[in-house]
Amino acid sequence: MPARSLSLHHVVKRYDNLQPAVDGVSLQIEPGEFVSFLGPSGSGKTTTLMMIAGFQQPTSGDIHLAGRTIDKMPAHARNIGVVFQNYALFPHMSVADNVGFPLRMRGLGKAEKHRKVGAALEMVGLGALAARKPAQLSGGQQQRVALARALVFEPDLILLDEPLGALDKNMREHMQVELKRIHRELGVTMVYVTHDQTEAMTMSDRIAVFNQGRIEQIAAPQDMYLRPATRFVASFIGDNNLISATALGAGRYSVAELGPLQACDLALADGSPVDLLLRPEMIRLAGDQPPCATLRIDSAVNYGDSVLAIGRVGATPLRVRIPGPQARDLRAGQEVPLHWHASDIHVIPAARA
Amino acid sequence: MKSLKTLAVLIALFIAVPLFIVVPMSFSANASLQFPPSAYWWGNYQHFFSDINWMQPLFNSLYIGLATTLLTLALAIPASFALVRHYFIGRTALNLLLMLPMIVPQIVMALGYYLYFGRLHLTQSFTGIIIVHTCLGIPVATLILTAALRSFDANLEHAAHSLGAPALTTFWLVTLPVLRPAVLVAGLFAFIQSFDETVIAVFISGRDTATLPRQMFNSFRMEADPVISAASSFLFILVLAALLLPLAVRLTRRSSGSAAGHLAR
Repeated sequence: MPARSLSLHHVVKRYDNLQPAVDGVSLQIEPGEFVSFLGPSGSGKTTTLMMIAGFQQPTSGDIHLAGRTIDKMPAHARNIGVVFQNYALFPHMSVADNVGFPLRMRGLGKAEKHRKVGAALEMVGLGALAARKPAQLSGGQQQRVALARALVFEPDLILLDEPLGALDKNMREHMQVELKRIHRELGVTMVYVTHDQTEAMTMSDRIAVFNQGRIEQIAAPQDMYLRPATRFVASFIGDNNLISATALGAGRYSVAELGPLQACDLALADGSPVDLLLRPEMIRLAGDQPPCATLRIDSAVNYGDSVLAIGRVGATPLRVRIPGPQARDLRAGQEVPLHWHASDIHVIPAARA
Repeated sequence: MKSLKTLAVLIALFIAVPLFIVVPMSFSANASLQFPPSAYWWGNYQHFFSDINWMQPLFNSLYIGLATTLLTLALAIPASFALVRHYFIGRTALNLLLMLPMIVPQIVMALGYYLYFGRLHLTQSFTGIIIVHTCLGIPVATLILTAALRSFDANLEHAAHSLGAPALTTFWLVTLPVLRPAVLVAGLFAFIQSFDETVIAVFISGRDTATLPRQMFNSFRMEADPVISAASSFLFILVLAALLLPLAVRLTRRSSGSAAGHLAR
């Protein structure tokens, strides 16, 4: 299947004179990339997807697919496969007719259609169910049919709008693996909308985090996790401790009631407000090492493989995740010395606000 | 609980009683309407099916009913789309306007149409009756279709577009087939409404365009001909058949379906 690039330039969608649903989104997706749009509901990720698909028109800005401008093109001429959360299978058609629908629209001969439908159903592991009606399939099977239907006509791009949202947890994890396999085998460019950060982390080449109609950051999952660009991204992805602080210069930051902390130097002006991100799993019990702080535990949640200790250092709330056997003795009310490396603290310059 | 059941059965019986009188009477050998009949025979039916004075109205009614059904659907389907899918000034008013024929007493409408159609030379014409019956059929048809359209998943149309189907193709291949049960039911109600309607037909249909209910009404007033009971029974069976037809179709489709069992929609 051909891999195509997709690019959006300053795309805006405004419904009324209210806050725009999409407020100047620009991004460049490389051929064959798997990119997730991640964000809370109402962040503009689905609206952006609908504009790429052609179901909604951008108020301004333009969209290019494989170098062509497509934003004035009607949806049926774009050659983009779309998978919906509720599957959107045609209930009156059999599985084979559903998958054959895009080929029928392209006027393919009967034999070729039959061959391609068979191959697509084989790809999603549903070859035996071609004669069934959608209502006779489970949710997971219906989503596979929808996937087969969206890829059978060799689209330039596949858009997936929270495709696994309606499935239970086991089926969802199974389908994530399947989807990645299909993406690898076909090499087609995929854009995946989700509000589930784990899903985005495990599946994507890159993640675009949406908030209030804008992209806060677009980066590979690991970069996003370790070096979030904004306070929003840091709080949306992964468990976190976000500590407000002030730059003191030379990589030192002052935290109210905690004293100065050493972290990396961003060459910020002295007195600039920053947020310090310290992931709970980066913090260890001090042991032999000099303690960085002392945590007073308010509650300890045992996950079996680890314990999440929630407490305070001075007045600053802190979450600490301690793995393994050393965590078993942690109890509410205890005071424990903590240690972390200066390099584990990620410094985020405070937002424009 | 038990007394409630008994009450329900009694009410059902009370509603059905006219049938228990009319159907046996249609086989009556008596020369006038009389219950219970003193003897039984097929004569009334023979008379009904051989008399041009009964057959003409029957075919008139079928013709008017079918034309009404088609015209009602042709108007109610676009109207329902407009009411459900679009916001425009006067939408609520239009909705109310479409429901009016259901609210206004039929005798009032009959009188209105009688005077109005007189000027337009539409009394005693098929066109006139078809127009009136369409007006009567539109409220229920619109109610059924708008309800179906509200629960219609717009993503089905989005999916069809993305797969390469332009707007009109999507309508014929996806939207209409998915809405088909609602369209059939709406059409059926429009047909039955027209086929049963008496009051307005008495006012505006003429001799040549008389409908079956009008002929029954006339016959009853003039001579109390026992053929009426045959006509009524026939009318009843026809309507019953029309109502049961979709059910029968669904049952046969289910039994001939695959062993996995159709989850009939």
